[in-house]
Amino acid sequence: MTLTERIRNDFTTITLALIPVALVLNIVVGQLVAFLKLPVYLDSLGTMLVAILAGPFAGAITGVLSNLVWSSLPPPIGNPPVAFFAGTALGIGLLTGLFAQWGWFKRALTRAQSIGLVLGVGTILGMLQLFLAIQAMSSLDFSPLAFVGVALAIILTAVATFLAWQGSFPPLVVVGGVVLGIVSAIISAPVAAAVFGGVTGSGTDLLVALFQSSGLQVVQANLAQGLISDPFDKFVSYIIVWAILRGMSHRLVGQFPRSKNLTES
Amino acid sequence: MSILSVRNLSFRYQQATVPALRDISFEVESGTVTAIVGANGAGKSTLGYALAGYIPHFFKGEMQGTVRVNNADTRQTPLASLVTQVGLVFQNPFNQISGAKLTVAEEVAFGLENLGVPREEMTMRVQRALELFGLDQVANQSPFALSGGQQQRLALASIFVMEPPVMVLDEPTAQLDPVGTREVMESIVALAQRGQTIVFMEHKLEWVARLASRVLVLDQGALVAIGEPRQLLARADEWGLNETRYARAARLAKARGLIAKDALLPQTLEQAREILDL
Amino acid sequence: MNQSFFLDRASGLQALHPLTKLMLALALIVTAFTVRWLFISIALFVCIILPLAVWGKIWREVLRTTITLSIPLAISVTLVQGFFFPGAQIVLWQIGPFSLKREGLEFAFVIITRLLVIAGTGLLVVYTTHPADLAIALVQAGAPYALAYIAVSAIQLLPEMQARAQSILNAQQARGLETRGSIGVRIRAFVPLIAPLVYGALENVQERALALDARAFRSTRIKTSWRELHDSQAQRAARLILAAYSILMIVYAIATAFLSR
Repeated sequence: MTLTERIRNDFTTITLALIPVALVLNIVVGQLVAFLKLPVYLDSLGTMLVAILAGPFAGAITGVLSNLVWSSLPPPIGNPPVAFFAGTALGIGLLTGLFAQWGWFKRALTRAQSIGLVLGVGTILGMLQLFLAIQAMSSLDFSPLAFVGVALAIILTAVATFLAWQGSFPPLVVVGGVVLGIVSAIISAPVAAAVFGGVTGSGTDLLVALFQSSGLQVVQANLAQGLISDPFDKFVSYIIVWAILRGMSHRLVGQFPRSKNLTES
Repeated sequence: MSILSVRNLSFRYQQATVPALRDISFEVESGTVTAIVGANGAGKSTLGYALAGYIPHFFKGEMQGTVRVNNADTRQTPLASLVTQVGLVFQNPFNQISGAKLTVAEEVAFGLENLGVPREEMTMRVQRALELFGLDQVANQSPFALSGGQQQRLALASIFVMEPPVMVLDEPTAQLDPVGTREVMESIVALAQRGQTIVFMEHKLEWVARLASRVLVLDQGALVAIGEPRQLLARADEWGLNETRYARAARLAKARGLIAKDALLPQTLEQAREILDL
Repeated sequence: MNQSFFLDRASGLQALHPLTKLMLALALIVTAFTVRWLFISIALFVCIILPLAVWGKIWREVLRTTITLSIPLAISVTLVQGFFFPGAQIVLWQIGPFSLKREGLEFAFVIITRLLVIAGTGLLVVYTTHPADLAIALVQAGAPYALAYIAVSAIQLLPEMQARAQSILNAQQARGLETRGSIGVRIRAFVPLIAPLVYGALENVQERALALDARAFRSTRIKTSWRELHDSQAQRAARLILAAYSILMIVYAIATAFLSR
């Protein structure tokens, strides 16, 4: 199937009817999470749903439009500068769609494979944080606190390995979430640094302050902070999306173009 | 020539084990009002989808037989063309609001915009539709601010404005309160008086008796009876349907010997008056 | 039911074609990012954005909203970068072990004023442009019709979904769901709140798709529009100039960044 054919098949009327709903879900779920004061954002659940049900292109479009519309809404919801993160939103939709296409939301693995994969991804995360911490060592302000990122990466990997061992969730869902978080942090860091000066006006700014005072540059500090919060946020998001889709009737799922991403083949 | 022609239509939804429609055949003449009645799950909505071409183009499943709209086979005609021939209005008023437009007038115009109708003609047709369905006072309000009855009239107007030769209405008042029901039914009466070909699925048999010149009865996907309303509706409980209050009252009257035992049961107020010589 | 910023006031700015306003916003933002002068952003804000806001009769709203949106970030960035900007030497104020440094404050100043420009131009556009008009303009400029549909539809569906979330919350709380307390409690509250919301939202999607098809949404004919957008030769020319300016500035910025390595 050529690319244009695939795109045309993905964008059925049902997909176009789904996208605004998913967009609004992004916002409302994010508000719900803030209301419950949970330590995550969970602001791309809708984008992920579209990506899994209708493919990576639909997911990418949902992400970008969601970001642009959100930023243009009246406060307290919206804030124009947020539009600069459209690239991150695109990445979330695109990657989730690809992971779904590769069967990550339905494939089962052996326990050994699961644990191996999770450890592998966790190691990558740890390596990235280690790299940043080592960069900090060349600065005059260096302090061992720069290794906080590495420590938290180890903790996240331990949690994820436990989940993989325990087997409640498909390991690829867990791995996918962490990978998405890593990519998302990498894409966002330069934007956050250049547009927002590395801060968001929330609690995570303390982490950025910590990293900057331990020798990291602004972008690096932002990346280090992102590599702590994003993998966690995205892996929780993936687990929730997976659980939601699992609870959907086959009839409901079957009407979407990429329903094969979920039904066993 | 009939405007709608159904021959041996059968359909089974993809995930289902039992067919939703079984070997249905009938014709609909232009300018008539046909009602389709049956218990819940009898296949009324499915038949509506098939008449409008959503089966087979929108819903996946196994379809046998043919549906011809103005002599065009729905299987061979693309949905984009079919929707201009058969307009479908269904139960839920909220879901029929496109969401694309911020005012009622623009919402009505939405279909015409998609069809590329020039602005002058569009304005005229929209104005006519708004007046016909009593929406001209709310033309500048948001569609989401309307009452259920108004929203359903908006759905009717939005489809009517596209001037489809046939309009299929699937239980249009099912989710409305009595006031909304009356408003919508009056609109449908107005449509019928203009000569619009209407096929409507309905539970409220009194309206069926008032509006329809012909009734089709569906039972578990099969067409079990076709005929004139007053005759068929007298057998309402044979098919598990709620008879009209006039029929029930007449039954009681018969039991008390107030009217002749062989008199045909009335289904509307006028017929009841007639039979009681009022 | 006003779900957008749009303020319907008769003014020259309101009457401008949406694309012209977008091009202007782009040019302003590009300028704020590419000109290497400490005070460029504040100059843009005071000398261009505020006067435009006055012209559009929206200056009170623009000023008020820009400041409200920017305050939390402004405080945070001043503190974080003021105290912890990497490599900063010039101390302006010492508080115990922490010192407020000039390089950090300059960085914070640039960020805050840039945010004022971004927020200000964003608001200039959304306060003076009806969402439907913006959607039509984008479609006329070549964007797929579906994009315009998605954006406007989402804006309208938001209040309905928020209302539904609220009623789900009320219903669950009436059944004894706790939403305050330890983190465990709050986590357990999440699923009973989110599941009905998502499932309910997805169930209606099929019907709305049916309704869209019924309105010839997928028709391939060239679409006409109920609303009229007013354009002019002058505006078209202005848009071209602004676009060219923006491109040149971006190229200039990238080139100077490369050359100074």
